[in-house]
Amino acid sequence: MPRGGVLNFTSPIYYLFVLITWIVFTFVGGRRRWIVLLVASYLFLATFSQPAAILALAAVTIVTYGFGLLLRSRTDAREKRVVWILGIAINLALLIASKSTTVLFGAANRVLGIAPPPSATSWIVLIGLSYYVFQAISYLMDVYLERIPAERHLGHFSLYLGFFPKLLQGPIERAGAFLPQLAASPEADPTAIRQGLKLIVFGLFQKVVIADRLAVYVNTVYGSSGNYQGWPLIIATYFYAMQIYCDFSGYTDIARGVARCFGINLMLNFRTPYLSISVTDFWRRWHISLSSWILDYIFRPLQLRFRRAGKWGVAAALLIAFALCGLWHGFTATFLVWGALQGALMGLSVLLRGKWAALCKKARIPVWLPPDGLRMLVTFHLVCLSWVLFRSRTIHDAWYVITHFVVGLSPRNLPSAILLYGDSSALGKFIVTCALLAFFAAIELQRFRGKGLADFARARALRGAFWIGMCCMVLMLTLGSGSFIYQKF
Amino acid sequence: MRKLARDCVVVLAGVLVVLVLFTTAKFFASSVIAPSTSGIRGALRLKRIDYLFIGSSLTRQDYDPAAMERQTGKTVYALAYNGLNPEYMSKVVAYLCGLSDVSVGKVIIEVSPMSILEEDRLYDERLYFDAPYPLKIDILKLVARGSSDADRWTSIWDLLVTSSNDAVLSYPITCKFLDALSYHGGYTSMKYMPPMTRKEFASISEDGSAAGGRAERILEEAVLAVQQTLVRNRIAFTYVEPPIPITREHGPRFLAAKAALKALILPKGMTYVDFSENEFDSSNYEYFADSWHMSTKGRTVFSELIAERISAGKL
Repeated sequence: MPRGGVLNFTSPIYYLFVLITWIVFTFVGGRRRWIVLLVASYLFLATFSQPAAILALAAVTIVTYGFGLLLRSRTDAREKRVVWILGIAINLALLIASKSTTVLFGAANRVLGIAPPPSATSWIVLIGLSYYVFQAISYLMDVYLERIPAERHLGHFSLYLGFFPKLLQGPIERAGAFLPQLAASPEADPTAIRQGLKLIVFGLFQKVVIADRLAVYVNTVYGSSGNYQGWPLIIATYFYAMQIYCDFSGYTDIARGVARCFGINLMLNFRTPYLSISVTDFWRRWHISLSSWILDYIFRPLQLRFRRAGKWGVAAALLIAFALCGLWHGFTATFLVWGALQGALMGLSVLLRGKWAALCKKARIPVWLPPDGLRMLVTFHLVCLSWVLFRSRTIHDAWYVITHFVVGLSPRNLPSAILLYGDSSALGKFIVTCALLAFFAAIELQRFRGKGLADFARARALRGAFWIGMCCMVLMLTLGSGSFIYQKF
Repeated sequence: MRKLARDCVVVLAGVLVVLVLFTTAKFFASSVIAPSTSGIRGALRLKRIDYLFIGSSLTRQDYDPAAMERQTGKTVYALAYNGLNPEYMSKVVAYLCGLSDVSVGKVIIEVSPMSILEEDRLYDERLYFDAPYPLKIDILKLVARGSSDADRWTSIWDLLVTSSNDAVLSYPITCKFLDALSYHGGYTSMKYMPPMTRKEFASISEDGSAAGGRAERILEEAVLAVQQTLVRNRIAFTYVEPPIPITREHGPRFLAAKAALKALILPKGMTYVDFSENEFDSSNYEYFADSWHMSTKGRTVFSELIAERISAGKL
């Protein structure tokens, strides 16, 4: 997997690149700004030294653009359907080929001991492919269903698929929201830039201060999970839950912040997901661009097909849709089971919906629901359990972790679990990490209540101090450095 | 736009002030809040050390100063920093020898082919954190010399600004714990190192990631610098190679590096004790916690061996 070129989101060179692009963008007239962004996007991709990725993006762009225009020109429903299916099939074929070949190479390596040459991997694991192919599919679906008109401007369409802030890990934008912004010529006003800069700083805080330092512990434990039991597995699982959130949410905030500096709004990808009151609610708040894509383009058509089966049909549609969502992350058993588990939990809630109320009614007692706090706690732990599957290399490893959570869970063993954070500095790292997580939790609560990051402070100076503190933490409290988790999907 | 620019300048200025104040304070005062039972500060507090073992994490994990003291009646101290190579060791030794209030009887220098195989860089930021002001300058100079042009400023930035900040922030809570974790530089019973399984032991092989592009001349200079400093200060010294799992030690690259290391040290008439060749059973998986370091059981056995040698006047 290509880890990232010189323009990694956490490298200073990336921000120099953004600054230079922004200066050129500002000096170029409104109607031609898309050219600056498109050139910057392809330059950005070129820094990964993967010619195949550039070719793939260009190919997907041209094919999808062409099929979009074809869909627009056809009036016959049957012809239209054929064009639509063909366009989607080409995109899916590329995605499946890329994902499955990696798995096949891995299997060949394991079984036959034949490792593919690195050059082969760089041709197959294409940067950002999963994200822009999903955008391309959603575009063709929307054009086919006449939700949006086909885009005529090839430059705008190319930028929709390849806009550099969202190229590597999304958000998976919808054409209906993105293309009108380009048509209206994006304008970077001071308010947008201010919002963008705040998002970038907060994104970096999540990634380099929280996610990367949690990764140090998580990688130690999950790297050889069979050696541990009890506390290390519990701590590593909680840490991983926060790591994956801060890693991905941090990336998204940086992407949204950079886009905002160019006057473009990217969609919100996370809304305090760990404060969800059910698994269904969690998926309304987690990786929103993917979950809404899954719901719109997989779940709803399936639901329509299974409508005669009533609630069971809905549950089955959820199960299939989220199993496929799992496979989108990678063609492995762990991802498949992880996705199916999400679908099963949601399906279960659909099947049980109304049953509880009916039971209370039958017993002639008022309908009682657990308080939201308790529901949040249960949902958070269900999600944490499912992350075990997501993080483990095999189902066997995941099963080992789940069955060894409570083995040797004595307070006496806690210090040695903390010392896994490293050497003699482990306790210091652990304490600072916990303090940072508490700080982050306070921010999440603030956001859950619909307030801004620094809204706790009324005085302007205090808000300024908050952002100075954030910048200092980004510069001074880094620990380890890693690539973004979702970049590999 | 002007207001936005002004706000950005204010935030940047604020960040700069905090960075400069914090970094300066850390530069001058970190050695005062360093752990007092391990590292340089622990050694300085002892005043009189009969046997000073100096080296990498192998020294910390493979020697048990408390057990050796019980057996020999001498004061033993393990001055250990992860991956401490001869370049940095020479600076630490020179600093300690330059102090009039610390007396060292004999220095046992850890030698390992690792120091040839691995890159010439600072592996343990705690060395910088623990080092008093004059030694810090020497360490910074070495870091600047050892890094390539592209990495130089990053390495210095990391050391000055980002390193050990967790230790500073958590100092009021962790200081007592850190002191309790060590006795004379070695681990106390609080840190139990479990043995490997037989399967894990069998799966150890040579680390292919170790870089071999080390400048022999710099290494030789550093080894000579350590020797000359000790000779000048009339301090006796011996080279000891601690045992590592036999499965790793028999790798061809490791053996080649070992031969090169011996060629570097032995012609100068120095004593070189290779414990992995005899006395210690490095094929016993229970003696090792990982592919380099000993388990608590291995440390006990090895420390007994060392103590016997000390008592017999053979070390």
